[in-house]
Amino acid sequence: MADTATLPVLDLNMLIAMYGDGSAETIILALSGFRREAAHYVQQLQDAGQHNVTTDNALADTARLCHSLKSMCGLVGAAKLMQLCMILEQAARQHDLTTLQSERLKLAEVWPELLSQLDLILLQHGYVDV
Amino acid sequence: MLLKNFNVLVVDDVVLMCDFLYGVAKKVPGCYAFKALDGKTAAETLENEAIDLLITDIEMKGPTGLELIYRVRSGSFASTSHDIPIIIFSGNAYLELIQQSISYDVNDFLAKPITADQLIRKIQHHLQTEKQIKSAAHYLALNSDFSAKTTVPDENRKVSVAIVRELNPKAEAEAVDTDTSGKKADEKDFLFWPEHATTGYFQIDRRLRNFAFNISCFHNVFVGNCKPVAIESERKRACEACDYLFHIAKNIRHKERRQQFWLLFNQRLEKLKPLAAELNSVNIKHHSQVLLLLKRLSYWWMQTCNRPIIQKNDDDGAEHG
Repeated sequence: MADTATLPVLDLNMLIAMYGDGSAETIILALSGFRREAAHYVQQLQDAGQHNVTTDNALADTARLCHSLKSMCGLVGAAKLMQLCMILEQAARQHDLTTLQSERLKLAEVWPELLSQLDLILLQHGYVDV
Repeated sequence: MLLKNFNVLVVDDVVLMCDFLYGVAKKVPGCYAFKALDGKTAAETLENEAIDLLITDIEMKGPTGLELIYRVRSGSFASTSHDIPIIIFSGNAYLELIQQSISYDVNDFLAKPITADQLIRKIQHHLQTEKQIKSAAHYLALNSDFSAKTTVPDENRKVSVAIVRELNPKAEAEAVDTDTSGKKADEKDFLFWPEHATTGYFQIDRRLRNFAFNISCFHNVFVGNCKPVAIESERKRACEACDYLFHIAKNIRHKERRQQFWLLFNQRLEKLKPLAAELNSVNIKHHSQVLLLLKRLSYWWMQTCNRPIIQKNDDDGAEHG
């Protein structure tokens, strides 16, 4: 597995390759949609971390949230967060609470970094509602 | 380029992913896309629309992707055929999941992420390539766990009349044993598919049923004096169902060697063609013309389905055209 630190925060080329379209309209649509939806998922993951619930259901929920967030990141090229989600999902599925707890803390670092990149690119493409 | 219009349903509980899939499916020439953010909505769409291709994620709340696939393959949906191509689109490829998908004869397993171009090629490929799918009864027997949790109650099913009966050979034998008086008369009430019918025959069965259902809907809204827009909509569906029947029959005929069967079946389809053309063009304001057409369609139906195309031999139970 690649080291999270070495990965790009947001790889726009990945997004363009995925959508097969590099128009400002597509980029804005994809990134603003991602920003809105991913924020919700990150919030839920952070909340779950604060409550530190470790039941089977809670871990399954965490795995599901990470799985969905990972898919979204893959679509828009948010490589760093995608890698983190992969680790978290695996840890949740394997009931590896130590890794889950330590890696979950990285969200507080990776997500704001991604958020600022998102806002910057959205502004560059003429999206004003950030 | 696809020659006819295909309905593609994409299912993913992640809005961004669902929109992406929907956008891609819409771009495929000849495709009309539907989207669903959860298994429940997807099931409703499968029930109400004749879906030709399903692309689904696996990990979802409500009916999961696998439950949805099971329900399609076991023929639980009134408007969607059980043998449509199914593509799983998932971020995880766990062995157990893949094994279960194989048992449901899923056509493809795509790992996320996938580019729009790759997905378009996959959609086109699966809409143009026929995969041999077993009968719905086979999948129904495969896993009864899901059905206990998710089956739609019978009263909610839209199609309640089966004009063609799918026979289990054993059950049929028992029925013959118990009926000593007139088994031939009973058998001639239905078209009998060959015991080892391929998916093609079941496709015809489904398309005939869909056509009957849609004509019946058209008839109901017409005689019920519904709004013209509703009548037009039902007429369109009936025409589409009829086109699909011709399309499927044509495709299967090219691959089949049973000359006698196709000679007879084709004659009956040829008689339907002018009626279908009239259905497409008849002015719904001309009440008597529409009623006359519906009457002629019902005659066609009785002529087609009251005379068996395939009959059984007395000695060994094998069928011939």
